[in-house]
Amino acid sequence: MSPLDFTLVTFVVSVVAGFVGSLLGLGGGMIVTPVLTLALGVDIRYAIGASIVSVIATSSGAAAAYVRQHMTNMRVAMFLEIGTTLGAITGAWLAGRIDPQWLYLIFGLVLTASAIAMLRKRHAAGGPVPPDPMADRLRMHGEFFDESLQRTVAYRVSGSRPALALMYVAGVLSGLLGIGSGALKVPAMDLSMRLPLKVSTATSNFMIGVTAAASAGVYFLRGDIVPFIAAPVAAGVLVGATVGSRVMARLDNRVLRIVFVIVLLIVSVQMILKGVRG
Amino acid sequence: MSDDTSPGSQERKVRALERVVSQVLRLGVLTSFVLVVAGTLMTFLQAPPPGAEPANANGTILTAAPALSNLPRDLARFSGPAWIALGLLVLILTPVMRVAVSAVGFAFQKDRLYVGITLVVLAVLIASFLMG
Repeated sequence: MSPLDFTLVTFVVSVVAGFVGSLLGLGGGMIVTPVLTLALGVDIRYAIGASIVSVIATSSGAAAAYVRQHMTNMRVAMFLEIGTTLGAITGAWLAGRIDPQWLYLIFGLVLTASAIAMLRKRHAAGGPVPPDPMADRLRMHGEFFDESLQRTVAYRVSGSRPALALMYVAGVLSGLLGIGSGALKVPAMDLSMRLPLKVSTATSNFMIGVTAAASAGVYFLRGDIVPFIAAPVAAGVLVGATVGSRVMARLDNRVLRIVFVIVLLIVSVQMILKGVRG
Repeated sequence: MSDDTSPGSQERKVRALERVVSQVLRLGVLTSFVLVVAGTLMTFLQAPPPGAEPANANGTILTAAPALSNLPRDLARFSGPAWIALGLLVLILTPVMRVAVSAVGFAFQKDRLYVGITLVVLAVLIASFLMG
């Protein structure tokens, strides 16, 4: 493959990954890394370095819109980012030191879990919100304007400590695998912190960019963000995700979702096999 | 209550801040996209400068990422990969900028606790650039 062909193929693949990722709510990183490594033979560390940059691009683009809609809880985001950024640095540091085989293996397992999680319907926890003195002290409770109800809805925040611990884990996975790990952040905020679903989505998206920036700094200085790979990936995923979010809302067609889940499971098995066999 | 701390005035400041954050994010992504595309075009339109050969047949990369210390020199030479690297750097720094803007915002609201929390996050982000 000539350098020009490589750039063009990688760009097209990344546009598709960004598009599909935004439809599934998975993020482009989960899709672009398997394609780069399994189909194009790119070193997994460079694929992850390119993917983490694309995560920043899509998250920052989407966050710009969410902030204007006042959905993001900035206090919750800032508090949890202490966990996610520390985790991201840990993950990025680890990625440079463990055998790449492990990266394939862990990536495959996380992709399997994310694919299966796509089948579950997202739900808010029921019942009264348990009191959380830490959330009180840090004044995390907030309100947002609900479009469908046409009024401002106030909410109380709970479980800030377990959420902070979960965010550290989400940060480690993000830094290790070059993914946004929204699949872990959103349920932590829905179920542990009891944030309204729309607020969780916006706040998670806001945090993903900052988390990715922490590990991208490590990758950049280590020389794992190679311009030749990262350029078509970042530009492609950004274009794909932007088109994806404009063209239609998130995919709710059950049959299509199941088809995607099966495809993702096949890809994860291949990643795991590559990790085991080398 | 002085005018500074009245709820209406605070609300206006928060809204103004959210606009700034939103614009920082948009501008960062856009600038980076333009630089990355320009750098890619430069790379293919020019004879590759030494040490900037792209991927080989297997997609294995022959070129290393340009060293940060050589970046100003390579930019002045209009090296494509260096301009791509600059674009990627702008992208990575975009969320860092937005954290910095948030720190200023919390300071406007005289919210010392969150100025502190935000500065911790900012410190972690800066540390990440020192430990690559």
